[in-house]
Amino acid sequence: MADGAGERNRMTTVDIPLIIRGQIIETDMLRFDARGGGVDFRAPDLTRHLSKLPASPQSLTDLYQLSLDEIIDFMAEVSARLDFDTNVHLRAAFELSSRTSNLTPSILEQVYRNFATGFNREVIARFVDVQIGRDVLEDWVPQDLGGGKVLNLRAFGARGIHVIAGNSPGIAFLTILRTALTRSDTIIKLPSNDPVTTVAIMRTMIDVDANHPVTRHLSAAYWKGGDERVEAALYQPRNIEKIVAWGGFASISHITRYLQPGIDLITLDPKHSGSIIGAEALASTQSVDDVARRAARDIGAMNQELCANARVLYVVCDENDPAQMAQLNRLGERIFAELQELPPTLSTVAKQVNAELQEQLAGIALQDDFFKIYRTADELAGAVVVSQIDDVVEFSDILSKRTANLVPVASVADALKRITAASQTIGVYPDSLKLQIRDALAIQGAQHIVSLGKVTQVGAVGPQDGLQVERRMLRWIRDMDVP
Amino acid sequence: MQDHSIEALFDRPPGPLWLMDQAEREAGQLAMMAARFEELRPKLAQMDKLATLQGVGAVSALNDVTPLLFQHTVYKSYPVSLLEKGRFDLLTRWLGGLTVHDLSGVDVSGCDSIDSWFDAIEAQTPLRPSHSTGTTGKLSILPRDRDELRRFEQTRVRGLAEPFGDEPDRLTALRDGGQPVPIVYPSYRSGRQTAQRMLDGFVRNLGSEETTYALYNDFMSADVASLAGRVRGASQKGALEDMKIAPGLLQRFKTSMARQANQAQDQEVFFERILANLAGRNVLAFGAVPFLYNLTVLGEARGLQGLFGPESIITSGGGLKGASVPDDWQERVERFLGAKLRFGYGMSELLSGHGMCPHGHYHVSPYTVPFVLDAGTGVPLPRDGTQTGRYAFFDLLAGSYWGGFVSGDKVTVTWEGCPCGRRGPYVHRTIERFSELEGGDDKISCSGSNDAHEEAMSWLMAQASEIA
Repeated sequence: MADGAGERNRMTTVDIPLIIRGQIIETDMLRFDARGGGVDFRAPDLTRHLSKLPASPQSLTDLYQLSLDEIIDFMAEVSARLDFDTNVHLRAAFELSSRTSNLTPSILEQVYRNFATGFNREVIARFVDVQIGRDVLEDWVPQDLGGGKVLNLRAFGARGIHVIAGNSPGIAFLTILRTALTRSDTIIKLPSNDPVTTVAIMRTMIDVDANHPVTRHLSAAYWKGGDERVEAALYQPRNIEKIVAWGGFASISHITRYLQPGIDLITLDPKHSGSIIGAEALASTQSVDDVARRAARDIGAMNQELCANARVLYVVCDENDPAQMAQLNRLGERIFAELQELPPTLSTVAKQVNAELQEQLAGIALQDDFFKIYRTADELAGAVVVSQIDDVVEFSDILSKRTANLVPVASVADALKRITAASQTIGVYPDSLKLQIRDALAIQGAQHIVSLGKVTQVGAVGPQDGLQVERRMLRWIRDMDVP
Repeated sequence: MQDHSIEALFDRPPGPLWLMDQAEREAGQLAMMAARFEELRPKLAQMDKLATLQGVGAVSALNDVTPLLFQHTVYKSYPVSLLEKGRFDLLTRWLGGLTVHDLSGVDVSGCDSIDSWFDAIEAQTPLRPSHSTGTTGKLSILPRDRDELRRFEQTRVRGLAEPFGDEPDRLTALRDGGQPVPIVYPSYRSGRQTAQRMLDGFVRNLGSEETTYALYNDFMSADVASLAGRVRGASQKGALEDMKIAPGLLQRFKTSMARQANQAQDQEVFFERILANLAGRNVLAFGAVPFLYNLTVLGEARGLQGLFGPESIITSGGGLKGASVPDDWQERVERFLGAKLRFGYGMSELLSGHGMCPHGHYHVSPYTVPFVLDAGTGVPLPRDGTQTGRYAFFDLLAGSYWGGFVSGDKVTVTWEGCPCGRRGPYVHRTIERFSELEGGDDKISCSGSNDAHEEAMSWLMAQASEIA
């Protein structure tokens, strides 16, 4: 926890520009509260620029003078220019994020490096094909409806505001990619936990081609979430058709105040993820070790900052059988050990402790009847809590910084009952079990299903949180031929 | 040789009690803490485990005890499902690890609710547990015994008006004539929650049932207070549909919710009762600031002032609890009620409170060993000058359970030099909750969850609305 005058003395102030369609604005700066890490930031007073922010519907015309291939080429070029070793904007963003982000520098560097290495032309082209399908983006696609009726279908971009999350810099890149490929006009509302990555990418786009239509349809602004002067003016159907809102209860609830006919709200609700582990895991020392390695990856990757990270892991195990419970405890101990062995590009000890979580752990640490905790004296290293009865820790909502809860359940069916629409990713072991329960998982509400240990390899391709976000960002238009 | 026993300290009159210098006071405190550690460690499984984890073998300096302070979470570390499953045997075993009293022979086979479990514990052991309000749906349970309860009552009575030097003895003035003192209390009359335990003490020591005016003249049930926690637990297990809530309990829940909704009306009715029965009389009254202010607004609307007699003692504390009151609230409240407010700082984990002196400082009595911990590292700050950090303390009045606690409060403590003449440390008036200082700063993450407590409450409300 950062506190006290010493912190304030080391404070540096960072200016976050306002970017409106390729134009960088750094005037009328307002100071915003300290964000931790000794960084304070300033951003332009948005109320002075509000009228310039929205785009008109007809302004999107320029995007239709480009072929999808030209857009893909441009984004591949931008991606290539986001080279961590040479891009000064990205370097600056990295330096700042290293101080403000919950992620540690070695993990952040890996995420930033992935912009250039992970999104070449081929990857982007496949992304379009899978997420939307290029034909409807390029032209009217006729479908014979019989009786001489023909549906001509085409997907058009829309004007939207994306209130993005800042827990991973990858979200900024994904949002820009989505905007480009759907030929949309997007205003990104910068999150205070990452106000810099979006700006670095947009500055790079301006360097590549300041007048490119894709560059000219991206804006980025910081305002304090809930600022009525800004939001009441922006969130109007004459300005936008779509709002894509990531994250917390508070941020969604103040957006819902501005909803009215003509605005489509796409919410990517906050989620938690977990694992369902079959009894096979506890069968042998070897299986325990294997499952521990996999589970540690799902828990610890990106320091458990993502919604996809495992937090509560249900393990089929008879809580009344001491031999099985001994194996479960061993699994907990092994997972903690494996967490410490994860590569630093994927996971490290935390930057700071979560004080509330530590208080909760201190409460249960003094008894062994109901919970056992595997950890060391280093509070930054994380912890594995093994429930000795079928009971999730009360504070499962705040499990973070590589802290997980293993819970014995009587059966897979018993574990399935606990999955809800708030459960995003479920890692399953063994693979044979995944096939058996995937329908049931989906019906319960789970959205991403993957083998245990592979959660971080899921990637951005495919639906997100049960939604096809790119398709939702588009306006689907039909031109009917009626005989 | 100095008698370093809590009994001797407890029996000191206020003069000598408040005039002990730091060396004398802390020598006694250290001796008591060291002895308490030796005596309790073999009997308190949970404290023993903490001492083992922290590698503390003895307490030979005051700060040696700081690694052994309990977080407030220790007293609520039982799984809430024990209540759902009716495993009161396991709950008893859990509580047994926190008290020196042997609970292994307690028969809880007839228990079907938390209230009945408390009844069984009280019938079969010296324990008189206190529980929290359960704002999150889970009660913390402090295993206090009869002796502690008695000291708690005595110290709280003394704390109403500890006259020091030439300060007036207002308690004697209030009790003038020996008639039972009328007591005004804006909540439940009885229960095992710390506030109700305190009220019981005042009624027993100063007042009478007949002269006690509580907003709700009934018992605050621990089962009602923990219902939302049970629902949340069941929901987390996907077992909400199987959850059975006794109709009587659901009815009581409904009543308690209706009371929250009708608080303004209920307070008006209460106001009428007080006006009709107590106008002009010297009373002992309690109330958080928002409640006292609401009464004042009702009174001012009728042009009333000087409601109670001038020897009344009106005690307040607990901050504003999120309510907004005008800057001149205190002046107006005092004008309307007709007596000065007395403020105290305390918490349910602490048996004695810290009363405020005429100079606006909360004085820490020698029954409590205070610590100010560095907010970031938890390391104890020097015991001199003025220090700001997390408040922690060792409660020497706690003899049957471990009295060391870390609070969630950010305080400033000055170790010596209040012009009121009391020696020793005092806490400054501005006290903040660390939990309210953190967060709320526009950070957005894709990871998180809905408000599970809110959902449990709304489920319960839906169930309750279906009963007549």
